[in-house]
Amino acid sequence: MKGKIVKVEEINQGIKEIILKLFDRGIIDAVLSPHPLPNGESFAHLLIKDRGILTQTVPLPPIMPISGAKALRDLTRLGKIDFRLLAVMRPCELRATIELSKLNQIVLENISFLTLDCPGVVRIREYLNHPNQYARDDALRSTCLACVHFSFKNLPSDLHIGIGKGEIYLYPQNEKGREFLTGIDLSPTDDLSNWLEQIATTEKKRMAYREKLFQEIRNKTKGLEALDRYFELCINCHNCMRVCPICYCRQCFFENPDQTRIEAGGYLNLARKKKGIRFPTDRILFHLGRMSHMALSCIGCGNCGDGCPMEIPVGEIFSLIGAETQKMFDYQPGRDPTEPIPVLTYREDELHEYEDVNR
Amino acid sequence: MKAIRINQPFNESLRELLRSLLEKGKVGAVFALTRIGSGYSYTLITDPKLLDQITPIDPYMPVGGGKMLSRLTMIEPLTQPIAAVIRPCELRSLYELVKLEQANLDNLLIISLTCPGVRPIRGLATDRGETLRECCQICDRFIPEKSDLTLLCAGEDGNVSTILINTEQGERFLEGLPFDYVEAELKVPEGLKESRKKKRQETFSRLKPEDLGMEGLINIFGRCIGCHACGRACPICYCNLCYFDSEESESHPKELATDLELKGALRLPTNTIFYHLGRMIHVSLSCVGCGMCSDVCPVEIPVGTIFTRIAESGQKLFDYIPGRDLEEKLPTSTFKIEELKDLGEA
Repeated sequence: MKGKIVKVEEINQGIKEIILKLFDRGIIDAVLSPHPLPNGESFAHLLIKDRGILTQTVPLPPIMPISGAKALRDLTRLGKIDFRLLAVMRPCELRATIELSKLNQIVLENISFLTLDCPGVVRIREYLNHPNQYARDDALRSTCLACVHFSFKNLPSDLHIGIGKGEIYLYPQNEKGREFLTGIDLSPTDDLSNWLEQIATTEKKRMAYREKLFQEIRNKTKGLEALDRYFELCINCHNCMRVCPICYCRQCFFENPDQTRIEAGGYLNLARKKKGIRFPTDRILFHLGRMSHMALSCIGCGNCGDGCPMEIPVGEIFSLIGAETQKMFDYQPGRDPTEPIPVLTYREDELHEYEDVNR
Repeated sequence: MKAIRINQPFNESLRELLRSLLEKGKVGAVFALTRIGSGYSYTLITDPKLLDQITPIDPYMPVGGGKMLSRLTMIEPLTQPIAAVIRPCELRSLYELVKLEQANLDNLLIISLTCPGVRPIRGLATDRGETLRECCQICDRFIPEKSDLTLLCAGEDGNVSTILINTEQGERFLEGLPFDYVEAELKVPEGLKESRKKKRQETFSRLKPEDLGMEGLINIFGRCIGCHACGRACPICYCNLCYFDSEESESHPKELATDLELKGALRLPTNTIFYHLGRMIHVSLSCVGCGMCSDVCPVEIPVGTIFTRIAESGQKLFDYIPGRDLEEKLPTSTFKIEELKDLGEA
C-alpha cells in the first residue's frame, strides 16, 4: 500500500500544514475543523475561510464536545453548499455524516473529507475538570477504547491521515485524494506497511477490550430488571438523544405531547393498575425506543455517555446493540454512502431465524 | 397557627400523614420523591403499602416537581384529589406554570417544607459529597409560598416533625385524622436567610454578569455543546418545541456562506450564545432559581447561577416575584402605557 510519509514535530501542526497547503493552492475554499475556544478550555467546530484563523485550528483535539456530523448537518440540512469544503473528521464523525446523508439530513455535494487516525477522545468532564491530567488511558471514553474503526478501512473519505510517532501517513482513499496530494506536490509513493502494522496492533488491543466490554454489558443487561438497574440513575432528560449524531428528529416521539401525554385520569388509572408509577413515565421505553430507531446507524461514538448528566454508560449498551443488529443485516453504518440503511429496504424473504418458532 | 406534630423523623412523619390521607380516602394518590435503587424519581402512588418507599425529604431533585405536576394536570384538571410533596421552588414554578396555562391546581393538596436545599443530582453517580447546589446555597426563598401544609424542616433536628396547616383546604383534608394538633409558628433557623443572602451577594459579585459583554458570555457559555438540556430541565421552559430546535432557527447554506464571507469563520452548529440569551429573555421573569439547569449541564456551566442573577434584575424591575402569588400577573402578559421610562432613550 502506497502513500506519503511526512515527518512532523507535532501531530496537529503537521496535519494543519497539509490543510493549509490545500487551502493556499486553492484546492479547497473553506475548512470545517475543531477549533480551540478563545479561553482555551474547550473546542468547537468552526467553519473557516480566513487563513489567519485557519492557522490556529486544532484538527485532532483530545475531546469531541459534539460530533462534526452535527456541525455539517447544521450547515447543509436545508440544501447543498456552493463552495468547496474540506471537512476534517474523526472516522466516527464521517460515519455519522454518511448515515445522516442517507437520512436526507446532510447534502454531501461539494464536501471533501479528510479523516484522521483516532487515538480516542477524553471524556469531556474529565478534560474540563482536570485540564492538565487527562492524558491517560482511563480518561478516554470506553467506547473509544472499544472502537475498531479508528483508521482508514471501510471509510469513504477522500484523504486519510494516519498517525505514527514523529510522522504522519497520507493515504489517498480515491482519485480525489490522489489529486489533493499531487496538488500540493506530494506523490503517494512511500511504502506504508509500517503504519499498517501499527494499525493491526491497535486493532488487536481494541478488539480484546471490545469483546470484554461487550460481555460485561451483556451480563449487566439481561432481562428487563437488569436493564432497569442499568438505567437506574436516568432522570429522563433525553440528553443522550440530543447529543446523538444519528438522532435527527426535530421533535422526538417521546417529547411529543400528542403522543406521550395523557389526561390526569389516565395517569391515575395507570398508577392504580400498578399501585404506583414513576413520574415522568416511559424511562426505559425511551431508551428502548431510541435504540430501535437508531441502532442500525449507531456508530458507537459515545457522545451519548458524555452528554449524560448522570454518567450512565449509555454509549456502551448502544454500541453493543448497534453492533449486534448491524451484524444481522451485514450492515456497517457509514461504510458506503450508497449502501441503503436496512430499515429503508424491504425483502420478502429474510430473517426467518428470528421468527417465533413456537407459533 | 394550627399544626400537627408527629414524633418521628421527617420522611417517616410524611409517610404517616400521607398514608392516613390515602387510607381514609381523602386523596386518591400521592405524588412524592422516591428513592429507587441508587437513583431518585418522583412517583405517583395509589397503594398505601408503597408509601414506605417514598423519601420526600431526601436532598435530591431529579426533575422539577412543578414541571411534573404540569405534565399530570396539563390536559385536564385532576378528577380526584392527590397530595403532592414538593419544595418551595418547585411550588413557585408550579404557580408560574398555572399562570402560563400549563398546569391546574384543582384537587391538588400541596405539602411543602422549609427547604434546607438539595445536592447536585450528579453526586449520585460520582459520590461528590454533601455540598448543596450553588442555586440552593444562594436561595433566600426557602419558605414555601401558600402551600396547604408546611413541614418545618430547615434547621430542625429531625426527631419530631411539625407540620403547619396554612389553608382551609389543608384543614379540610386533615379533618377527622387522628393526629396531635398543636399551636406552632413558622420558624426558620436564625441567620439562615441572612447567610444565604450574603452568599448570594458574594456569588453574584464574583460572576459579575452585568460586566459580561459578548466576550464574557463567550467565556462562560463557549464550552456549551448546544444540547439544550438546560431548557428541557427548566420547569419554566414549557414549549413543546423550542424556537432554537425549530426550522425557523435554521439558516439556509447560502445565508451561512454570506456570514462566513463576512466573518472569516463561523461556529457550527450556530446559535450557541444566542440560545442562552433567547432562553433568558423568555424565562427570566419566571425563573425561580431552582438550579435544575446547572444540574443537567453535561459541561458544568453554572447556568442556574447566571440565570438567577439576571432574573433578579428583571424581576426587581417589575417588582415581581415568580410564584409568590397566583393573582400577580406575569409582567409580560400585562400592558401599561406608562412604564419603564427610565430604560428609554435619555
